[in-house]
Amino acid sequence: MNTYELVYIIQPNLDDEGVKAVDDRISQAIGGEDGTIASTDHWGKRRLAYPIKGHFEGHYILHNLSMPPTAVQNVERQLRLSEDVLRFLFVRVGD
Amino acid sequence: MSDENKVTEAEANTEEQPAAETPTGEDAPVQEESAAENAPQAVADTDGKSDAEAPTEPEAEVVAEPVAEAATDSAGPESDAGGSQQEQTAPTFNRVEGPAIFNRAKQGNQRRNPRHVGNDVRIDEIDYKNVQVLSRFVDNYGRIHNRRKTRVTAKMQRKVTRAIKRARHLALMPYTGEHIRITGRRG
Repeated sequence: MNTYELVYIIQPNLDDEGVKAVDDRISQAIGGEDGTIASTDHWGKRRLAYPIKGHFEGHYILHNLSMPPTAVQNVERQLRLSEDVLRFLFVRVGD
Repeated sequence: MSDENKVTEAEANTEEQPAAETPTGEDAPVQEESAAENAPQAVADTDGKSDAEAPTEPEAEVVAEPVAEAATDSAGPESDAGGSQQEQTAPTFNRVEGPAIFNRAKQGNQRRNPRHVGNDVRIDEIDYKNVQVLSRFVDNYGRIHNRRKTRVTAKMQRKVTRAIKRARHLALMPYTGEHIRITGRRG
Protein backbone atom coordinates (compact mmCIF):
# COMPACT_ATOMS: atom_id res chain seq x y z
CA MET A 1 0.00 0.00 0.00
CA ASN A 2 1.29 3.41 -0.95
CA THR A 3 -0.08 6.78 -0.03
CA TYR A 4 -1.12 8.97 -2.92
CA GLU A 5 -2.49 12.39 -3.59
CA LEU A 6 -5.06 12.68 -6.32
CA VAL A 7 -6.25 16.03 -7.66
CA TYR A 8 -8.69 16.26 -10.52
CA ILE A 9 -10.53 19.09 -12.23
CA ILE A 10 -14.20 18.68 -13.05
CA GLN A 11 -15.75 20.82 -15.76
CA PRO A 12 -17.42 23.98 -14.42
CA ASN A 13 -20.88 23.57 -15.94
CA LEU A 14 -21.88 20.87 -13.47
CA ASP A 15 -23.79 21.85 -10.34
CA ASP A 16 -22.92 20.59 -6.88
CA GLU A 17 -24.85 17.35 -7.38
CA GLY A 18 -23.10 16.65 -10.67
CA VAL A 19 -19.72 17.26 -9.04
CA LYS A 20 -20.69 14.98 -6.19
CA ALA A 21 -21.74 12.26 -8.66
CA VAL A 22 -18.34 12.38 -10.38
CA ASP A 23 -16.59 12.44 -7.02
CA ASP A 24 -18.57 9.40 -5.85
CA ARG A 25 -17.78 7.51 -9.04
CA ILE A 26 -14.04 8.08 -8.62
CA SER A 27 -14.21 7.27 -4.92
CA GLN A 28 -15.98 4.01 -5.71
CA ALA A 29 -13.29 3.15 -8.26
CA ILE A 30 -10.66 3.72 -5.57
CA GLY A 31 -12.65 1.68 -3.03
CA GLY A 32 -13.11 -1.10 -5.56
CA GLU A 33 -9.32 -1.42 -5.81
CA ASP A 34 -8.87 -1.95 -2.05
CA GLY A 35 -7.97 1.70 -1.62
CA THR A 36 -9.02 3.85 1.32
CA ILE A 37 -9.55 7.58 1.12
CA ALA A 38 -8.03 9.27 4.14
CA SER A 39 -9.34 12.77 3.44
CA THR A 40 -11.13 14.71 0.74
CA ASP A 41 -10.80 18.42 0.07
CA HIS A 42 -13.09 20.33 -2.28
CA TRP A 43 -11.30 23.47 -3.39
CA GLY A 44 -14.46 24.67 -5.07
CA LYS A 45 -14.67 26.40 -8.43
CA ARG A 46 -11.34 27.96 -9.37
CA ARG A 47 -10.21 29.96 -12.36
CA LEU A 48 -7.83 27.99 -14.57
CA ALA A 49 -4.48 29.50 -15.47
CA TYR A 50 -5.21 28.62 -19.09
CA PRO A 51 -8.31 27.27 -20.84
CA ILE A 52 -8.75 23.49 -20.93
CA LYS A 53 -11.22 22.19 -23.52
CA GLY A 54 -12.69 25.68 -23.78
CA HIS A 55 -13.33 25.95 -20.05
CA PHE A 56 -11.88 28.82 -18.05
CA GLU A 57 -12.93 27.48 -14.66
CA GLY A 58 -13.07 24.11 -12.95
CA HIS A 59 -14.04 22.32 -9.77
CA TYR A 60 -10.92 21.09 -7.99
CA ILE A 61 -11.08 18.00 -5.77
CA LEU A 62 -8.17 16.63 -3.74
CA HIS A 63 -8.08 13.11 -2.29
CA ASN A 64 -5.48 11.80 0.12
CA LEU A 65 -5.63 8.02 -0.19
CA SER A 66 -3.73 4.83 0.28
CA MET A 67 -3.90 2.20 -2.39
CA PRO A 68 -1.89 -0.75 -3.73
CA PRO A 69 0.40 0.38 -6.56
CA THR A 70 -1.24 -1.88 -9.12
CA ALA A 71 -4.57 -0.09 -8.62
CA VAL A 72 -3.32 3.26 -9.88
CA GLN A 73 -3.61 2.19 -13.50
CA ASN A 74 -7.27 1.24 -13.13
CA VAL A 75 -8.21 4.42 -11.30
CA GLU A 76 -6.43 6.50 -13.91
CA ARG A 77 -8.39 4.65 -16.60
CA GLN A 78 -11.64 5.58 -14.85
CA LEU A 79 -10.53 9.23 -14.70
CA ARG A 80 -9.70 9.24 -18.40
CA LEU A 81 -13.04 7.65 -19.32
CA SER A 82 -14.98 10.33 -17.49
CA GLU A 83 -15.59 13.24 -19.82
CA ASP A 84 -16.37 15.60 -16.95
CA VAL A 85 -12.80 15.28 -15.64
CA LEU A 86 -10.67 17.84 -17.44
CA ARG A 87 -7.35 17.00 -15.77
CA PHE A 88 -6.02 14.84 -12.98
CA LEU A 89 -2.74 14.40 -11.16
CA PHE A 90 -1.68 11.28 -9.29
CA VAL A 91 1.26 11.84 -6.95
CA ARG A 92 2.85 9.34 -4.59
CA VAL A 93 3.44 11.09 -1.28
CA GLY A 94 6.71 10.81 0.57
CA ASP A 95 9.09 10.48 -2.35
CA MET B 1 14.76 37.94 -20.59
CA SER B 2 14.11 40.40 -17.80
CA ASP B 3 17.82 41.14 -17.58
CA GLU B 4 17.93 42.03 -21.25
CA ASN B 5 14.94 44.27 -20.82
CA LYS B 6 16.58 46.07 -17.94
CA VAL B 7 19.74 46.55 -19.94
CA THR B 8 17.85 48.02 -22.87
CA GLU B 9 15.92 50.27 -20.53
CA ALA B 10 19.14 51.46 -18.95
CA GLU B 11 20.61 52.14 -22.38
CA ALA B 12 17.52 54.03 -23.42
CA ASN B 13 17.68 56.12 -20.28
CA THR B 14 21.34 56.88 -20.71
CA GLU B 15 20.53 57.96 -24.24
CA GLU B 16 17.82 60.20 -22.88
CA GLN B 17 20.19 61.76 -20.39
CA PRO B 18 22.32 63.68 -22.92
CA ALA B 19 19.16 64.79 -24.69
CA ALA B 20 17.95 66.28 -21.42
CA GLU B 21 21.24 68.13 -21.03
CA THR B 22 21.18 69.68 -24.51
CA PRO B 23 18.74 72.45 -23.49
CA THR B 24 21.28 73.67 -20.93
CA GLY B 25 23.92 73.50 -23.68
CA GLU B 26 21.69 75.68 -25.82
CA ASP B 27 21.28 78.14 -22.96
CA ALA B 28 25.02 78.62 -22.64
CA PRO B 29 25.54 79.73 -26.30
CA VAL B 30 22.70 82.22 -25.90
CA GLN B 31 24.52 83.80 -22.97
CA GLU B 32 27.73 83.90 -24.96
CA GLU B 33 25.92 85.58 -27.85
CA SER B 34 24.54 88.26 -25.55
CA ALA B 35 28.06 88.81 -24.21
CA ALA B 36 29.34 89.04 -27.78
CA GLU B 37 26.65 91.64 -28.53
CA ASN B 38 27.73 93.65 -25.51
CA ALA B 39 31.35 93.41 -26.55
CA PRO B 40 30.98 95.18 -29.93
CA GLN B 41 29.10 97.98 -28.21
CA ALA B 42 31.96 98.43 -25.82
CA VAL B 43 34.37 98.40 -28.74
CA ALA B 44 32.25 101.00 -30.57
CA ASP B 45 32.17 103.22 -27.48
CA THR B 46 35.92 103.02 -27.09
CA ASP B 47 36.25 103.70 -30.82
CA GLY B 48 34.18 106.86 -30.39
CA LYS B 49 36.40 107.89 -27.51
CA SER B 50 39.52 106.97 -29.46
CA ASP B 51 38.33 109.21 -32.34
CA ALA B 52 37.94 112.10 -29.93
CA GLU B 53 41.21 111.42 -28.20
CA ALA B 54 43.74 110.48 -30.84
CA PRO B 55 46.81 110.16 -28.59
CA THR B 56 45.10 107.74 -26.27
CA GLU B 57 43.78 105.68 -29.15
CA PRO B 58 46.19 102.80 -28.69
CA GLU B 59 45.61 102.81 -24.98
CA ALA B 60 41.86 103.02 -25.49
CA GLU B 61 41.95 100.12 -27.86
CA VAL B 62 44.24 98.29 -25.53
CA VAL B 63 41.93 99.08 -22.66
CA ALA B 64 38.77 98.40 -24.66
CA GLU B 65 39.87 95.05 -25.97
CA PRO B 66 40.68 93.69 -22.53
CA VAL B 67 37.32 94.95 -21.33
CA ALA B 68 35.54 93.27 -24.22
CA GLU B 69 37.59 90.15 -23.71
CA ALA B 70 36.95 90.39 -20.00
CA ALA B 71 33.24 90.73 -20.73
CA THR B 72 33.27 87.73 -23.03
CA ASP B 73 35.57 85.90 -20.65
CA SER B 74 33.43 86.72 -17.66
CA ALA B 75 30.36 85.70 -19.60
CA GLY B 76 32.11 82.60 -20.92
CA PRO B 77 33.26 81.21 -17.58
CA GLU B 78 29.87 81.96 -16.07
CA SER B 79 28.10 80.02 -18.77
CA ASP B 80 30.71 77.29 -18.62
CA ALA B 81 30.51 77.24 -14.85
CA GLY B 82 26.74 77.11 -15.08
CA GLY B 83 26.97 74.30 -17.56
CA SER B 84 29.48 72.41 -15.46
CA GLN B 85 27.36 72.93 -12.38
CA GLN B 86 24.34 71.64 -14.23
CA GLU B 87 26.38 68.75 -15.50
CA GLN B 88 27.54 68.02 -12.00
CA THR B 89 24.13 68.41 -10.48
CA ALA B 90 22.25 66.56 -13.21
CA PRO B 91 23.82 63.13 -12.59
CA THR B 92 23.38 63.41 -8.84
CA PHE B 93 19.77 64.38 -9.47
CA ASN B 94 19.39 61.39 -11.73
CA ARG B 95 21.08 59.21 -9.18
CA VAL B 96 18.35 60.12 -6.75
CA GLU B 97 15.32 59.93 -9.00
CA GLY B 98 16.44 58.98 -12.48
CA PRO B 99 15.20 55.54 -13.44
CA ALA B 100 18.30 54.38 -15.32
CA ILE B 101 20.90 54.70 -12.59
CA PHE B 102 18.36 53.78 -9.94
CA ASN B 103 17.66 50.53 -11.75
CA ARG B 104 21.36 49.87 -12.13
CA ALA B 105 21.91 50.43 -8.41
CA LYS B 106 18.93 48.22 -7.65
CA GLN B 107 20.38 45.47 -9.81
CA GLY B 108 23.66 45.72 -7.96
CA ASN B 109 21.87 45.61 -4.63
CA GLN B 110 19.92 42.57 -5.68
CA ARG B 111 23.13 40.83 -6.60
CA ARG B 112 24.71 41.67 -3.26
CA ASN B 113 21.58 41.43 -1.16
CA PRO B 114 21.39 38.12 0.71
CA ARG B 115 17.61 38.25 0.61
CA HIS B 116 16.88 36.37 -2.59
CA VAL B 117 13.70 34.96 -4.03
CA GLY B 118 13.67 31.69 -2.19
CA ASN B 119 15.79 32.58 0.81
CA ASP B 120 13.03 32.39 3.41
CA VAL B 121 11.17 29.48 1.82
CA ARG B 122 11.33 26.26 3.78
CA ILE B 123 11.71 23.08 1.81
CA ASP B 124 8.47 21.60 3.15
CA GLU B 125 6.61 24.64 1.82
CA ILE B 126 7.45 23.61 -1.72
CA ASP B 127 4.35 21.89 -2.99
CA TYR B 128 2.47 21.96 -6.27
CA LYS B 129 -0.61 23.18 -4.38
CA ASN B 130 1.24 26.13 -2.83
CA VAL B 131 0.95 28.44 -5.82
CA GLN B 132 1.61 31.57 -3.79
CA VAL B 133 5.14 30.44 -2.96
CA LEU B 134 5.83 28.89 -6.35
CA SER B 135 4.84 32.04 -8.23
CA ARG B 136 7.85 33.77 -6.68
CA PHE B 137 10.13 31.38 -8.59
CA VAL B 138 8.61 32.40 -11.91
CA ASP B 139 9.01 35.52 -14.05
CA ASN B 140 6.27 37.61 -15.60
CA TYR B 141 6.06 35.25 -18.55
CA GLY B 142 5.59 32.21 -16.31
CA ARG B 143 9.11 30.93 -16.92
CA ILE B 144 10.98 29.28 -14.06
CA HIS B 145 13.89 31.31 -12.68
CA ASN B 146 17.31 29.71 -12.86
CA ARG B 147 19.39 29.05 -9.78
CA ARG B 148 21.45 32.19 -10.36
CA LYS B 149 18.25 34.14 -9.78
CA THR B 150 16.64 32.07 -7.07
CA ARG B 151 19.84 31.39 -5.11
CA VAL B 152 18.38 28.25 -3.59
CA THR B 153 20.15 24.94 -3.15
CA ALA B 154 20.17 22.44 -5.99
CA LYS B 155 17.90 20.15 -3.98
CA MET B 156 15.44 22.98 -3.44
CA GLN B 157 15.59 24.04 -7.08
CA ARG B 158 14.75 20.50 -8.22
CA LYS B 159 11.76 20.43 -5.89
CA VAL B 160 10.61 23.86 -7.00
CA THR B 161 10.91 22.98 -10.68
CA ARG B 162 8.98 19.76 -10.25
CA ALA B 163 6.28 21.47 -8.19
CA ILE B 164 5.86 24.25 -10.77
CA LYS B 165 5.52 21.69 -13.56
CA ARG B 166 2.88 19.82 -11.61
CA ALA B 167 1.04 23.05 -10.87
CA ARG B 168 1.12 23.88 -14.58
CA HIS B 169 -0.40 20.53 -15.43
CA LEU B 170 -3.31 21.28 -13.08
CA ALA B 171 -3.77 24.78 -14.58
CA LEU B 172 -2.82 26.31 -11.24
CA MET B 173 0.04 28.14 -12.99
CA PRO B 174 0.47 29.26 -16.60
CA TYR B 175 2.78 27.56 -19.07
CA THR B 176 3.40 30.68 -21.19
CA GLY B 177 2.85 34.42 -21.27
CA GLU B 178 0.09 33.74 -23.78
CA HIS B 179 -1.85 31.98 -21.02
CA ILE B 180 -1.44 35.02 -18.81
CA ARG B 181 -2.66 37.24 -21.63
CA ILE B 182 -5.72 35.06 -22.23
CA THR B 183 -6.78 34.74 -18.63
CA GLY B 184 -5.62 38.22 -17.67
CA ARG B 185 -3.82 37.17 -14.51
CA ARG B 186 -1.05 35.00 -13.15
CA GLY B 187 -1.49 31.70 -11.40
